[in-house]
Amino acid sequence: MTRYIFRRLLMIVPVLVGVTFIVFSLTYISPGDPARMILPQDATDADISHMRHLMGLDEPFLLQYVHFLFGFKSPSEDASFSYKGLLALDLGRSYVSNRPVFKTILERFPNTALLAILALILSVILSIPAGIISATHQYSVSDMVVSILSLLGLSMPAFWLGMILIWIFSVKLRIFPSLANPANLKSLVLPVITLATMNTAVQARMTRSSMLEVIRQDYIRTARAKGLDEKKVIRKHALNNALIPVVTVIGLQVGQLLVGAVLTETVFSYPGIGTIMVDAIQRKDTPQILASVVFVAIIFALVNLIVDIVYAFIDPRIKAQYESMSKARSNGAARKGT
Amino acid sequence: MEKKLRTPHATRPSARKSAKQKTAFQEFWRRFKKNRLAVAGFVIVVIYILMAIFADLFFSYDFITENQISNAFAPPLTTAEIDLNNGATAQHLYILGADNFGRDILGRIIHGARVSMVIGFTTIAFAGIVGSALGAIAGYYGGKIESVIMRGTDILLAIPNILFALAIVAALGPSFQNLLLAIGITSIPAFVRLMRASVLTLKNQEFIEAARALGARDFRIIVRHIMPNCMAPIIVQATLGIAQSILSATSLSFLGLGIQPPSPEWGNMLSDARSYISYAPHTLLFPGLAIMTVILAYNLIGDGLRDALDPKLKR
Repeated sequence: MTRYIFRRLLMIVPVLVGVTFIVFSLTYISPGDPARMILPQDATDADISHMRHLMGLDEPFLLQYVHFLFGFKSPSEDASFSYKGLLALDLGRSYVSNRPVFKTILERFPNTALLAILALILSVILSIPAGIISATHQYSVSDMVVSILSLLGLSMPAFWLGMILIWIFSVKLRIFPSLANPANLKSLVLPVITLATMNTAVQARMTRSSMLEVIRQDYIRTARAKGLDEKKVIRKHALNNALIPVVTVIGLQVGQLLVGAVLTETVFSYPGIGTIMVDAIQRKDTPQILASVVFVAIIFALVNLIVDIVYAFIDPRIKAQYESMSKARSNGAARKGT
Repeated sequence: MEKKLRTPHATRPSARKSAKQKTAFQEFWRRFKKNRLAVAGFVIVVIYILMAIFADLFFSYDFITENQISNAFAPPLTTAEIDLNNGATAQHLYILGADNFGRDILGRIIHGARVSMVIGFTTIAFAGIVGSALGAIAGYYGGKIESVIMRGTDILLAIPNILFALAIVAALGPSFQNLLLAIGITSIPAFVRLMRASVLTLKNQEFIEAARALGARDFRIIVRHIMPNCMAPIIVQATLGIAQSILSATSLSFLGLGIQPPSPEWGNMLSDARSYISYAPHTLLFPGLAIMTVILAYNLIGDGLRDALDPKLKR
């Protein structure tokens, strides 16, 4: 097991290098020149090239990527051009607010995490019972209702749903505010519903199909034949097995929630990482864009890593499979060696 | 020798072949048809495609991009006077009302269908071709090529779709081409994985060995023998992928990073409508319904195709 976790941790390294490299390259090829952007309009070409030198933009591409990871010491007196690099969570200052970009991100990230966690809890509470009822009462009215609602939830753009909720609950009924902020729990209701809808739909569908598959297995027939109470059959025998793929899906969705928050936050003007990103993109604030995209991508990768590891603990089959696989692999390697 | 081998089929090879293909397709169609929802989805998609193709017959592009400020926020089913280019005026029935610039919402939805359909089809055609090719190469050749392709795919998958599209558009600037590029690239990994998995299960089967023994080249084996047998999951993925693409495009446009106004696009219509939720909810309602129905339709078709093409469910 420790070997599995260790290997999984090692696997994340090339992925993170790849992700940061891609995002960095994208900002590198983007047409705007940062030096020109922070200088006044009437700056001469000499000023610009001097500024490019101070900002390290005249260095070769790969060296700039190294700076991006490990930090850059500007030849300028002004310390604000130097930064300690991604590994130290320092990518310089925003062109717009002149604050360290990661300071803003780390301040706002808990807000996004709060939204995502609440949405995750809501979606799990709703989707799993709905999926189970739908599967155990296949073709009943409740199955149809669940199926139709989950199809609708799957097809509804979250940002549109959010605005419709604002129209109904903020404008018409005046129950919930249309602007959300983490200090006011009541204002979080609408964004959490908005963010949770897609996940609830996906998880309910997954639970239903997984449960339907399990119910048809022989061991369920055996349990029923033994004369077990139907409730017990479902709860003890079917559910445990049916939930394994559901857990995977939920795991994958945790990352999606963090990203889906970009749209939801925009709709509700919620001070999270999504609104930072969108603002930064609209203002062409390159360090802020770079930092927030890389940050979310890294969080996404780490969340998936954690889910994978937790998953191995939940499902004994994964553990067994991995152990037999690593045995086979070491045998193979030994054979190759001889 | 060759001729002798062929004689059993020589009686009527073409007739045999077509009969067999027909039954396979008929079998698929019979099963697909049984799924009422999938057929409904198919009908909706056909309607949207027709709308996209014949958009100009309903409303001229100039009309739906031109401001008619005096009619701003006209509610649905109102008739109002509009200015024509030549200085004359005419009566116009706003079936779904007018937006904040007095532009006809129905017209903008219909022209928006053109944008969305083009985005859906081109991005998935691009991702499907590139992704399937890469997946087939990875699965067929294995070794170093496979490692490189699959690690690349892992990295692409490690960046969430929308985020990656956002980063591409942020870097290259919001435009139609960049939107296509961004969504196309983010749709590739799913196809690579599917194709590789199918190729891996197929490549050691006897008919592939037979083809190789007959001297067929790798390219021919992949394209003529392996790919047609991998089509079922690819078709399902493509259908669901189109829905995903359209959703991504409208999301990016909603954030102001996709199709720019005054070009009609469902996402940017909603972005405009956001400021007038309390004042003119109809500007919000209809573009969203348009997105929802088309995504729903593709999802229904995708589900129907999966059931109809699934060999496990064959009875």
